[in-house]
Amino acid sequence: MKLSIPNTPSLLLLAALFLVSSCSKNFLQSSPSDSTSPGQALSTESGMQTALQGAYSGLKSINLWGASLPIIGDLMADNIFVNPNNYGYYIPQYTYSVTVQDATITGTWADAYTVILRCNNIINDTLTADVNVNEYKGEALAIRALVYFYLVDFYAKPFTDAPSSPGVPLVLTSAPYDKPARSTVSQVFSQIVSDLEAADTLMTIYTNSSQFSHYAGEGLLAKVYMYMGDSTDALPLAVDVINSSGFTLLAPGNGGANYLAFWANSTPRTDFVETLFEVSFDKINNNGSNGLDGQYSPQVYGDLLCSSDLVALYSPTDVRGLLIDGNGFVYKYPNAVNTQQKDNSKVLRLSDIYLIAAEASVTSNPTAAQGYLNTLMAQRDPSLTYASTGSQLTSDIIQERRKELAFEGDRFFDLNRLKWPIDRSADYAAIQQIPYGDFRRVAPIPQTQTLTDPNCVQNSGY
Amino acid sequence: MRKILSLIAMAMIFALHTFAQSRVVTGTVLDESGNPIPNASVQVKGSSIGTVTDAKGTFSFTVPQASRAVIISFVNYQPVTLPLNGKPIFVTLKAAATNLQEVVVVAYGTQKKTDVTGAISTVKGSELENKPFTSVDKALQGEVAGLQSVAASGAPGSSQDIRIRGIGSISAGSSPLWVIDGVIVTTDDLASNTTTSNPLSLLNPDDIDNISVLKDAEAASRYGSRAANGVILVTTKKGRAGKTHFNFSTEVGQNSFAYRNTNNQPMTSDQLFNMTRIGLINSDPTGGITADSANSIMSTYLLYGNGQNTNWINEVTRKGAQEQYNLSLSGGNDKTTVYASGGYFHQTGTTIATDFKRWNGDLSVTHKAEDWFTLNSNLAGGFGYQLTPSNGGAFANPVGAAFFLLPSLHPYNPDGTINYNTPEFSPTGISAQYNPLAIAKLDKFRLGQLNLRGNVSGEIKFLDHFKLTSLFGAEFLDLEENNYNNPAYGDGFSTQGLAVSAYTRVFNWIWTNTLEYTAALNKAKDINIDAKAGYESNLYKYYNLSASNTVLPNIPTLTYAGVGATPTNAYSLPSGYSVVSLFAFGDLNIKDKYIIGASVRRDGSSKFGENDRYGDFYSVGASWNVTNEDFLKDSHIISLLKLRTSYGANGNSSGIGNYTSLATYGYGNDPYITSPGSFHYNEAPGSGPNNLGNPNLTWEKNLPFDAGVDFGLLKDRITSTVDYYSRKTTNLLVQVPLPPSGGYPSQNENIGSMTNKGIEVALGGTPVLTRDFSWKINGNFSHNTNKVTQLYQGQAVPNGYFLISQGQDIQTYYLRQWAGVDPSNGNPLWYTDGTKKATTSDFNTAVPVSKYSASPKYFGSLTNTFTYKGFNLSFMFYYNLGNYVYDSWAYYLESDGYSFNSNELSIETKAWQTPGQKTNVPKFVAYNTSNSNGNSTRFLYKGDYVRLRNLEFGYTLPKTLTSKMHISNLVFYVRGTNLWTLVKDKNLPYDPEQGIASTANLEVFIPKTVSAGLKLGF
Repeated sequence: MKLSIPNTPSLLLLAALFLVSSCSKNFLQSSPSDSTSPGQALSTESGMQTALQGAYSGLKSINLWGASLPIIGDLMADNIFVNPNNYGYYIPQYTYSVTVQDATITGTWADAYTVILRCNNIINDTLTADVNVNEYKGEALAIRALVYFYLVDFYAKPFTDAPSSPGVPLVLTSAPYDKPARSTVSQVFSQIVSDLEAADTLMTIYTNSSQFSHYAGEGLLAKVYMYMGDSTDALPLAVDVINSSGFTLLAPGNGGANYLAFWANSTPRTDFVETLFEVSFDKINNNGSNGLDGQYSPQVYGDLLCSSDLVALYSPTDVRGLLIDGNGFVYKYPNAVNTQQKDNSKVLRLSDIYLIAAEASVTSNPTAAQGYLNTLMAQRDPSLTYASTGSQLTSDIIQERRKELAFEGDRFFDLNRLKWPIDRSADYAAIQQIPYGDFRRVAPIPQTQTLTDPNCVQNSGY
Repeated sequence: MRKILSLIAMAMIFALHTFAQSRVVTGTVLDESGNPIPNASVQVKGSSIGTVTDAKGTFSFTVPQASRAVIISFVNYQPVTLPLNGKPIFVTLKAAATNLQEVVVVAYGTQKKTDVTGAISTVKGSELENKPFTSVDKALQGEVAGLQSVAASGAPGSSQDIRIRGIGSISAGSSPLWVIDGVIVTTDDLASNTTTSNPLSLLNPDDIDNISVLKDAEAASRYGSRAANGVILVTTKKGRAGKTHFNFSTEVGQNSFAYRNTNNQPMTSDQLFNMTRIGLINSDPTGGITADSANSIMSTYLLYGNGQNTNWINEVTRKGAQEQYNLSLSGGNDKTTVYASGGYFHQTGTTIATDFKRWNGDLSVTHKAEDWFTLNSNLAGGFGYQLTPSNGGAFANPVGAAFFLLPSLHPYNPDGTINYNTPEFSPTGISAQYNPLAIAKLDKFRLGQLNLRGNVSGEIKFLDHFKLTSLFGAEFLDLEENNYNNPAYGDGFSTQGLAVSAYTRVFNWIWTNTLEYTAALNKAKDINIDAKAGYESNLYKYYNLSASNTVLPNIPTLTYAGVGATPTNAYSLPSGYSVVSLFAFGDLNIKDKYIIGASVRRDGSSKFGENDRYGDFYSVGASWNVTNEDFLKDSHIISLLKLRTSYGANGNSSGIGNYTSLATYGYGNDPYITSPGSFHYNEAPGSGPNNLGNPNLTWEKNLPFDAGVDFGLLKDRITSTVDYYSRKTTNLLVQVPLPPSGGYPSQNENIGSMTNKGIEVALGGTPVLTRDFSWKINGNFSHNTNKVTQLYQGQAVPNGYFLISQGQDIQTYYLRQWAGVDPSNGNPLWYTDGTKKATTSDFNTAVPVSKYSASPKYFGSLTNTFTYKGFNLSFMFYYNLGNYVYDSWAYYLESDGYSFNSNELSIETKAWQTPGQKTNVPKFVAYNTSNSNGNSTRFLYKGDYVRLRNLEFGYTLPKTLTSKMHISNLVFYVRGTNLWTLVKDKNLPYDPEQGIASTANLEVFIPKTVSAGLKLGF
């Protein structure tokens, strides 16, 4: 039997194989090429700015300002109704038959908290403070306040009715596994107020209308105080925005040309005209047919029509009437089929601040109230000059809010904070009267939250 | 003087006697193909007298008269002992090591069949070669007990679902691991924009020597963290020493679609208009619509009365061509052997706009440089080019068009051109669904694939008992997809044309180093051990690039993104993972009677969380060769009896993301916000959390138990293998919902578990075996029961038409139970719940019930093979029983009038019309709002079928004739696949084979082929 003894080179190869094979620790480290660790993402100023853009981007969600919030705010009230020949969107909201499993309320809740998480990470970041870092944190605080404001308005009873009733869970840090209970409505509003006050101090740079700024923050805080029924605190803020912000009201232009051009142009503005803050959509990042523009445009879905009683409120000289055609189609968002730009969703406009100033001054200074109201009317309907006082003036102001902020998602929340009934026209086939106190005026907490978080109680009636 | 004389005399006598006592022996030594074997050793048994054969294989030498026998041998052939009877010797030597009866390819090596302790099924290359299937996984259907191979689509080049011993995972992958010549290969469908693709379609089945399917712990656990779903080992052909041998084979034929149910197919114009008229009249209960007004509505919207009756299925299907050519050579000497091959395969599909072409090459060299050092190298390449249309509800899907399009539409204009952008076919015309002939002509869906696979290995034998092997293998796979939608008509119209391109590249390498020790442990040398220890590392790298462009010139030859004016997408991203392993195996053979095998393996993978990155896997198996025991050794009846059992742990990591365990911030795609899709805002970059991460993320674990019996009776006239298995999978990845207030919707956690239990039987017999005629039967039978045993907090998880719930089969349908039609008024009826005590006509009142499964209870095959002299007839039936198929488009196709602008299936002609009529089709009402077409068991069909999967009739020319022609073999044959299908449910409109999930989705029809071929060896 031959004995096979390998020669020296092969023995060396053998040894080499086993030595080389023992490097493995680094071999198993692997990281994705489109992501970084959270720590790395927020470790520099420019990283924080990028993260802030990501927070704004979340607001574009189809369930936030992409479509649902502006639509529901008019649809559940008396401004728009669903076209009988429709594609099936928002029917449960329209007919007041929302369940805890409804896709829209589930999506709005989830996306709101996704944006809140992004803001929390920026706000809690420990980067050394300087002008830019403060600006980013300020804007993140303002975004967080805005989102909590809509969350508590939509999923809880108004502050003006039941401030100690359950609000929404206040999540201010990154805590994915927590099962928070619902803070009270007043606790949520306190947080919103303190966030906006902190934001207003930190925000010192103005970028453009698609990002928060100092006066947008002040304006939002004024609105928040109105929702708390606190005219005293709301008024000075609103007045400050009107007098010192440098923003001007949108002028109608010849035959309303300027007015229509304003709504057709969705490039973020730097001219301080009208828009304090809007959520911006561009030709690449938008919701396609399902966006706000697609829902309204008869060239896409055309599912939403202006109610006949709202149409009747616009006098023939009211420039805002130009946005509605004879069939009830609304053209506030006309870029649905434009491949070069897509419409933005207005969150806060100067006109809204004027109306807040008017409403806040009704009892303390009715003349000033009429002044603010008529200054706005001059830019909208020259035939209108209000001279009422007291509750009639308040009524007139609320009606002007309805006409001015129509199709921007404001009306439903106005009627809720005022505890007024919702009286819809005959256009609404399913249900026309929803008195205040009907449990369906508050959205249910989605089942995805109540099933995973036993501390989060459901709203009564659901 | 006398003494000297007697001495001389004695010497002379002795010499004469010696001369008289030797003789010359002559002979010829050939191999199985009839070729002479030079240098074969011819030796007198019991003596050292011998010679070797010459170049012509002949020998002639002198042997002592007392010689009784000679032993003839040559390397790699079985030695033969022949008696010396004075006649010339004529012997054919049979190849030794490659005799598949004797040696089985197992994990990291080979084993004698008698030593195998695991549940391993083998398939010979000859079963797989020259078949008209576009990939070898399709040819495996029915070949292995316990292995279910199902097609979802008949598109040439399409993927195939393979499940071994049931479905093993809920949300991760359930497909087995494929290893080709020691290289772990990619078998996932990696295409981004192509309906279906399959990397295995680039492997030439003609290059396969054998396949081993490793099913239980003992066999598969040696692959550790990737073996949970079974392992398929493919060994390609290697060269054989001897004269260089060439093989040429070709098969040419035609295909058409396999199963068509004439009982329930799209309606003709007459049928459709009759029903629609009834539907319109019924839609106004006040009688407001008369037959005349119905006719007028139909003529305006549906082209009633134009006299056209298009059979759209005929328009989109055709007889496809089928051809393949393969040429290989194999040769060498006892030091170096070579195998080389080249092949071409082409199949045009049964549906328009489908096509598949493949070119292959393979080169394998083995060089025994020294007695103790052998080098193996192999390089194989495949290039494929494929055209594949859309599927499902896409307007561009030709199969969908066949079912949806109104028969009154014209496929062509009167002048013979294709009908599109006319009042009939346009976005605002009669049909928004596209004319499939136009799309087939104008749009392009192209996929080019390249696969290169190579390996080099060296074996060093030293110190008698040791063998060190190092194998380095790599695979390169690239997919180039170029889709084009023309600007004038179809999906490209709204963007004035669309060209989308995607490039995907995979490169993976593996390096395995093994040290093997074989030795006898006792003096009698009947206790032998074979131990292996090894180290393996594997790196997988993936890269994807895509771009799209719109606004293209309307010129049919300009179909790439380079000519677009408005780019809309640019994207590129790499990805990858790595695995390192340490393993040790041991196989102990005690007197060939008791065999014990054990393995341990430790794998580390980059996919998993820091806390759980490494896992330990093991197996133990034992087998008892009862027929080697004294009491059975000489049995005349029982020729083989072997009992086996095994248990172990292995893992599954396929279908788990490469970076799922890491908490990250993303800068591209936003996975959490409903829509739009990225973190960017105002055309500036944005970032946000895109993965929660789980540092405890780890493998899904599989614990399989197996008990099996292999037996043979009457000298293996009857053979059988029976296995019982029970495998429990735990640590299954389940999405655990998190409170949305935390900002994340869910978390991936390893908490689910499931069991699969079943029986596999493989049976073979030779009822008739005479010199000229033989009849062999082979069959296999598989039965599997799947049960989900643990979900997150017991919560059921909806999954399409299924509901995954504890205590149920993972593919259990969750549907409202159809109760037929109310004979008094034609309203649809559903059972209110599973008790079937009450019925209701209100869809929302009926409650869905978990019942019926998409997985078959029994499946397998039966093959009969007849040989008579040179003729050979073989046919295989494949059967699949006990599952249910769901028609996912019945909502439109059997909608009882709901879908007004499209066609429906002819079963609608049986709709209820008169009170008292008993039928299963409700009243036909235009714009039907009764929800009678809602998801329910009404559209759940029995999936039982038997198919004549393969029929082959051939003639092998006799050796006498072929040796005169100086060739070694010539075979002519005709073949048919999927020739005949018997389906139990007479109302199922589609082929019963609809993928693992048994959901009919308007895919390209599965083909049946008829072809003729020849195999020539020379």
